[in-house]
Amino acid sequence: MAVTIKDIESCIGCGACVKTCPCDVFRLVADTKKTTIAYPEECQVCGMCSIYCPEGVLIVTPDKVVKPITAYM
Amino acid sequence: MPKKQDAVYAFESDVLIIGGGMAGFFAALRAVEKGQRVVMADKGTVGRSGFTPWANTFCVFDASLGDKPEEWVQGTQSKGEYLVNLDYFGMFIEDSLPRYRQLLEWNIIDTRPEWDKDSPLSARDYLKGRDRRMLLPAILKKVGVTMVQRVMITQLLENDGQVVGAVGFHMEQGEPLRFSAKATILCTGAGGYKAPGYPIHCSTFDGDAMAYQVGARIAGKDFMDFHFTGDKHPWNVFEMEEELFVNRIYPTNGPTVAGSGVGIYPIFKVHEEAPPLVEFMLEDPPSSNEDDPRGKGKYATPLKPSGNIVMGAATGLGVHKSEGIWPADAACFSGVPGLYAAGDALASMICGASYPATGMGLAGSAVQGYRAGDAAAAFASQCAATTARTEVIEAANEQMFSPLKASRGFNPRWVSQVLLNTMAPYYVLLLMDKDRLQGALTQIEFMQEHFALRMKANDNHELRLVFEARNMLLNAEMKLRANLLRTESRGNHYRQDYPARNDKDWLAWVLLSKGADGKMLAQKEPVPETWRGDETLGYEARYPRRFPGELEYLARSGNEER
Repeated sequence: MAVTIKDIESCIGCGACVKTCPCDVFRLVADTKKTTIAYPEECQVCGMCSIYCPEGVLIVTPDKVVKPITAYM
Repeated sequence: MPKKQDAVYAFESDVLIIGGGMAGFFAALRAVEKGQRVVMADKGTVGRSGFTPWANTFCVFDASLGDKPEEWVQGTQSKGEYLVNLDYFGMFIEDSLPRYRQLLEWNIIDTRPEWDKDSPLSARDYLKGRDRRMLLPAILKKVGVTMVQRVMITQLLENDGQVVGAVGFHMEQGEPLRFSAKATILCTGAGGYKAPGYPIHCSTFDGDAMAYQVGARIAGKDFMDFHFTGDKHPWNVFEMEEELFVNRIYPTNGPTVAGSGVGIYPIFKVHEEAPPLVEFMLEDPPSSNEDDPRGKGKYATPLKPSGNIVMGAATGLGVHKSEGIWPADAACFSGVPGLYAAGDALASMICGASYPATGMGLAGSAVQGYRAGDAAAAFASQCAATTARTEVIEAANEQMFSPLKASRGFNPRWVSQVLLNTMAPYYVLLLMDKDRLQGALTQIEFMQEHFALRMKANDNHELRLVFEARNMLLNAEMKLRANLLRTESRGNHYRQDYPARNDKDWLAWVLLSKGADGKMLAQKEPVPETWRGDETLGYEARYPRRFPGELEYLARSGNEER
């Protein structure tokens, strides 16, 4: 749902997804240098990350499920 | 990467530009042309941030195609219902064509044949070397603009009543960043309430909020735009991927004929009857000139919404170019020394009370960005370098990071969600009424008091969410106060308790500002007499668009309002 990682093995750690996402959804993992969907809540399902990923690592499906959000933390 | 919150990364320039969309792009180019050192700070990556990646129409006034300024003025005044700023509209008439030509020259506006889904060439290959999202930053880099990207700017810095830069933090590394500049231009766009359906999730009225805090006046919050979504995939109304990626920017013509104004009737029908089936997309206005290339093929990209159209996505938007920082002159100056604005961050009022023609949003940003760059450069070139006092910067940094230090606090995602649920229902901002506006304002005031300064962030990403939620809360208060004050209906402002235009009292804008006691003030600013259109016309000729219940209301009130 929304953005998912299709194939983490082919991630080359270029950071294109991190730079492209207007909503700051991605981070590169410090030790593996591969992408991770750090903040799925903020995905606006626009699809730009999958378009700019040179290796086809990410796919975006047109729906999204958000986990319940609590009032405070 | 380790957090380096003790280090301060400082950037110095003559002109600081906040926001890297079409307005920021031209502002930067023009300021560089005028010999200024320019730093640009962007919340995302220049060319791919905000709503810029999806822009696809550019309105051009072209006398060689038979356009007449007086017809454009008349069309816009009629659709914008006599709240159009003719100084800025004149600027648009003068400058839209030269800006369009520049974009053509740089291939940012592409004129090749449309990419075909069935073609053997992939979308990626089709765009190689011509992707406008990549061209924008490449051009800026070439002329020497320093781009500081993925930065949340949290506050403008002042020194003796002059804006002298800003502070913010980097979203990944978390460093506090300080920007010192002789002049600052806000090109921060507008916003919505994080609703699904349109990719505006990161547009959160940041510029309006920051400018308000330093004493700028804010206008146009009393007019609404909104988008639809589809009931099948509400998050992604067009199931867009490659089609939207390759969409081009098309030239469009002006507001002389029936344009794309957003009407209130579909919403009213939801309220009164069953939800209507809304026809998809508006036709391009026809041109009398066969050789006119504008508008042709605009909807060639086969975008179809998923399922049935549902009005009410991306709610709480302003009308393009009619909401934001109120200009103190005809050259994008905010009235606060050192501070300028352009694009959707500037209430230039070239559209007035409702959006008159497709493409005026993007073209207006290009036109005003260029002029703001010019004005800011002129100011900066006669001004000595100055910076905020150390204690001011220290206090701003302390305040910026305080949500990270809280042990417990409200969740910024929850605050945004509650805010959306308060502001987005159609009966609050689209079908308005005093009691419901007041009810929403009571809720928003409570949120301002209890949540704005008590949110917690676990990391820098959430710290951004805290500031975005604060900016949206402040904007919500502005929107509700402006709508309460305007006791009439006009353009995309429909009050069920005052369902008709009232020229006697309301040929005026609503300006919001921060009072001496810190409370928000909402005041009327009359439209100059020469900008009011033909006041001798009868009511129905002057206002051809009807509001639900309007004529009955006028008949009841004995035609006093006419």
